[in-house]
This record gives sequence, C-alpha cells and structure tokens, in this order.
Amino acid sequence: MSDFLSDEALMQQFCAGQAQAFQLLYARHEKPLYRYVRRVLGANLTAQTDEVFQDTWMKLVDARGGWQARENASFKTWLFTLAHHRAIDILRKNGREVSADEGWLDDENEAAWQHWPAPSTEQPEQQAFWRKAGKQLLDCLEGLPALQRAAFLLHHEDNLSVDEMTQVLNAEFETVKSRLRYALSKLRTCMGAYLHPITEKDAS
Amino acid sequence: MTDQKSHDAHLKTALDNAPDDDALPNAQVRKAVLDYAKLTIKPQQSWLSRIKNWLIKDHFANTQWAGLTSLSAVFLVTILLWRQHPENVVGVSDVPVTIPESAEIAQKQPDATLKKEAAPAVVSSAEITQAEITQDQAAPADTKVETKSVPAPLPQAETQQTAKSKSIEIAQSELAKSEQERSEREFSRQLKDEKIAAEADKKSNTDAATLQPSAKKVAKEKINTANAPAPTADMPMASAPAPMAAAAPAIVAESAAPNDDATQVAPAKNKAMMPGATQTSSADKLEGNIETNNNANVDSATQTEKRRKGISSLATKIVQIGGKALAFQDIQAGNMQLLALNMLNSSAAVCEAKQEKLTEIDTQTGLPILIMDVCHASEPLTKEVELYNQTMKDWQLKQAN
Repeated sequence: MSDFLSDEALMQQFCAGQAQAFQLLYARHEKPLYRYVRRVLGANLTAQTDEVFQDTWMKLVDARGGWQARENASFKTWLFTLAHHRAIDILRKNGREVSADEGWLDDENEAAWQHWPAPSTEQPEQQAFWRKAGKQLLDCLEGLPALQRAAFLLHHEDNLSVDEMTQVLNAEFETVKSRLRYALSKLRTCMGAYLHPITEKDAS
Repeated sequence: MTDQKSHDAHLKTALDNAPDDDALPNAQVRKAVLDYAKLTIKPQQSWLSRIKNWLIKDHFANTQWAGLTSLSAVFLVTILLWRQHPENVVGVSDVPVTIPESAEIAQKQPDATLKKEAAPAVVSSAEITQAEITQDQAAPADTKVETKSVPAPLPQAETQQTAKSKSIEIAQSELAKSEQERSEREFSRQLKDEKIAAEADKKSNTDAATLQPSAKKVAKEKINTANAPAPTADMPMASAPAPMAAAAPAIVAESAAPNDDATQVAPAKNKAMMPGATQTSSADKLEGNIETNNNANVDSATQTEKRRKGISSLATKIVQIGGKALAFQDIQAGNMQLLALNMLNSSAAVCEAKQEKLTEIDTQTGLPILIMDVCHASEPLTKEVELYNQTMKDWQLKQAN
C-alpha cells in the first residue's frame, strides 16, 4: 500500500476492512498525537498519557462508521479532536483548571524576542541553546490554562490552522484566536525571563 | 491575527527541541491499539450475509424473522407450483392437444408435415392446428407453414371446439377430394378401355369373313354359356354372366357417384355388346351376331369384366390384394382412413343402392371412417377389412410416437 495515500484515503480503506491502512495511519500520527496528549496533560498527569492515547485510537476505530458520513473532514483534525476531548476529561477528573483564564496580555514582551538567537539548530551551540529553551518552554506551558495550552500546541506543534482549531477545541473562531494570543503572550513573557540572563551574558 | 502572525518561530523551535519531543507510547499500548483495530475488522461479508445480519441484529425480532421466512417459502412454493401447471407454462399450448384430428391432414401433406416436425417443440398444438387450417384452406400441399406467426390465443374451450370442427370439415373435404380424384382416374381408365374395345370392334368386322367354322362353334358355345341366368340374386346386375359373377366377390361395394356416372357415360355401342344386352335377342339373331362379332364379343367381355372390377374397386381390391397391402397403398397415397362394413338388406333393390360414406371419425386414432354398404360380408372381406384397419392404426400409432 502506498505511503503517498492521504490520511482520508487510508481511512476509507480501513473502513472498507483493510487493517493495513490503519497501521499506516497509526504510524503517521503516533508520535505527534502522543506528544500532544502528553503536553496537554502536563507533567503531573504524564502517567495517564498512555491511557488517553490508547483510548483515542480505540474510539477512532469504534467510530469509523461515522467517518464515512463526513465528506470534507480532515482525518488529523478528527483524531486530535478525539484526543483533546479525552485529555480534557482526564484533566477535569483530576481537578485541574481547564477554563481559559485570559489573564494578562503584555504585547511589549515581544520586544524581548529580538535578543534571541535565530531559530536555527545548525550549529552545536545553537542546539544546546534551543534544547534548554525547549525545556523552559515545557515549564512555561505548565503555567498556562489547558485550553490556551491546547491552542498553542495545536497551532505550533501540529500546524493546525485557526479554522481547524475551532473544530478541535469546539469553539468560535475569535475565541480560538484570543486563546492563542494569550498563550503566546504568556509564553513569551515566560521565555523572556529565561532568555534575559542569557542575553545579558552575551552582551557582556 | 493571521496564522502567520500568530505563529512564533522562536517558540516553535524551542518546542521542537523540547526534551519530550521523541516521546513514544509504550510498546504494549501500540500493540493493543493495532490488535484492537484488527479484531474489529472482520473478513468482508457477502451482501447476502450483510442483509441477514442487518435484519437479524437491527430490525427484526426472532418471531418476525420466522414469519418472514415462512412467508417467502410459501411464496416460492406457490411460484414453483404455478410454473409447473401445464396451462401456465410459457410456450406450451393454451389449448389441449388436438393432434389426432389434424394428423390425418398432416400425413396427407408430407411436405407440410416435415416442416411442422422441424418446428420448435414449444409451438403449441393450437398453433399447429391453426396453421394446418389456414394451409389446407388456402394453399397447396407444399405451402410453407409459418409457425412463428402465432395467432392470438382464443379462449380455451372455444378454440378447442373450433379447431375440432374445422379439422373434421377439412378431413371430410380432403377425403371427398381424394375420392373424386380416384374416381376420375378410374373414369379415364374406363375411357381407355372403351377406345380399345372400339378398335377391337373395327378389327373384328374386318376379320369376320375369314372366321373358320370350328371357331364359330366355339364362340357360339361361349356366348350361350354367357347368356345363362345368374346363379344368385345378390348380383348387382341380374344379367351378369356367370364367369363374371365368379370372378367378382359376392359383395356390392362401389365407390361413389363418379363411378356411377362412368357407367352412364359408357357408349351405347358397348352396351349392345354387353352380355345383358344380348340376352333379349333371339337365338338366330345371336347366331348371326356371333358369326359377325365373335372375336369382338370375347374381347369386350374381358374388357367389361375388368371395368366391373374397377367399378367395385374398394371391396374387390381389398379382397384381391389384401387389407394390409391396400392399407400401405393408401398410406403412401396419403389416404388415411379406416374402413367399416355396413350390412344392407340382401334384397337386390337395396343392394343396388351401393355407397360409401364418410360420416364418422374414429375417436381413438382421429382417422375418418369410410363406411361401405355391402349386401353380404364374406369372411375374407371381413378379415381383410380388419387387417386394413389394424395396419392403419399401427402406422398412425407409430407416427404419433
């Protein structure tokens, strides 16, 4: 079976009874989905990542009959929608805050990014920098409300558009945009705090 | 906020380099997911089993399913029975078979029969009968029968009755036609005989003068014995000479009117030469006549005898050549019929009203029965008639098979 088939075509084949199509779909989306679930749940609920991940796929298998009814649906959007709802359920069960706390919005923090190195990992020094930055980002994400976190991850990690995010998050377009903007602002502020010592060191 | 504006490259790079970027689920989780997907996919079912599952699982309770099954079974059986009923079978006749009545006609017309036999077996007997009727009414024997042009089916009883009556009519007309042909043949034969006799008269006139006395005596004796009274009253012609009475059977059976006409047409000259005519003349006259026409009278006597044999052809023939042989001749000629003897009163007046009738049709074979009036049915005649009928029936049965 060709790897060049779209997700939707593979899903159609899986619905028609071809197990191999499902294996290809799983291989394509295993890593991004697992990462998304893990990051949305956060460090405190990492242990439940496997459970949410497994439930998501099983639900997809069970609901494959309903897939045929959707004509213009994206498989990826559907998959992440299922995972998102399951993750939010787990978060609610565990008493975590999922409401989109708008909080503060400090657009001036964007100026701090000018001091950051270019987003490239070609040189070993840059790789070390961004590895540390990544670790810092995960810490910053922990401080975001779940829905803002989800909006940021879907947009930056899984490259979903705002339109697609409205389906996954089951929210209005403006709401999604707002959540994304708040998430970016907070993360930049958080990351600026991390960056500040580095930039000062570089300046001296 | 556009997608481009909302996308932060620095955060993206940081996210891509996060320590959990290569995180993967547990191998058991992966296996569980893939196995679950395999388990849920059953081998593809046929459309029949899908319908069955749909009916059983989703839409029908067990009782409903049982009811539906029995209903469809009843429907199927009804359809099968309906199909097996002869009246409903497509291509088989809507009318009971009437072949026996039409068979006689078919056999009289070999060409047509052959074509009909070559026709598809599904053609109904009603079609064949109809084709025969149209063919017999309108066309000669070798007219092609268009078995494909099926006439519109009539109601069953009406069609049957119509076909039957038409078949009878046709059979009777065919028989009359063949009888007429036969009598015409016989008449022409008689005319030939008369011509020969006339020629013989002329010859005898020229030869009379040269006759010798011994020959005259022999001729005189022959004529005297010929003029002796008839031994029985059964003779159709009381004046028939004894030798002829011995040669002809003791039955009077005659083919119909044309033969009677033939006897009427016979010229007066021949009548004068007949023994009956000479009976009234005196011995002197006879002697004179004998002297002048001796040889001619001998020849004409044999000719008349032959003619008489020809006139009473059927009964005479059947005794002479045998019932079986005559039956084969008739079969070859396409003259399919059965014979029956009708005993008449033995008085001469009734017996002279000789006739052969075609009034009945044999229900067993469908052949017409030719009734022959006879004054006395001899044992050989009865036997030969039986043989004739048996041969006809056997042949008819063989044809039917």
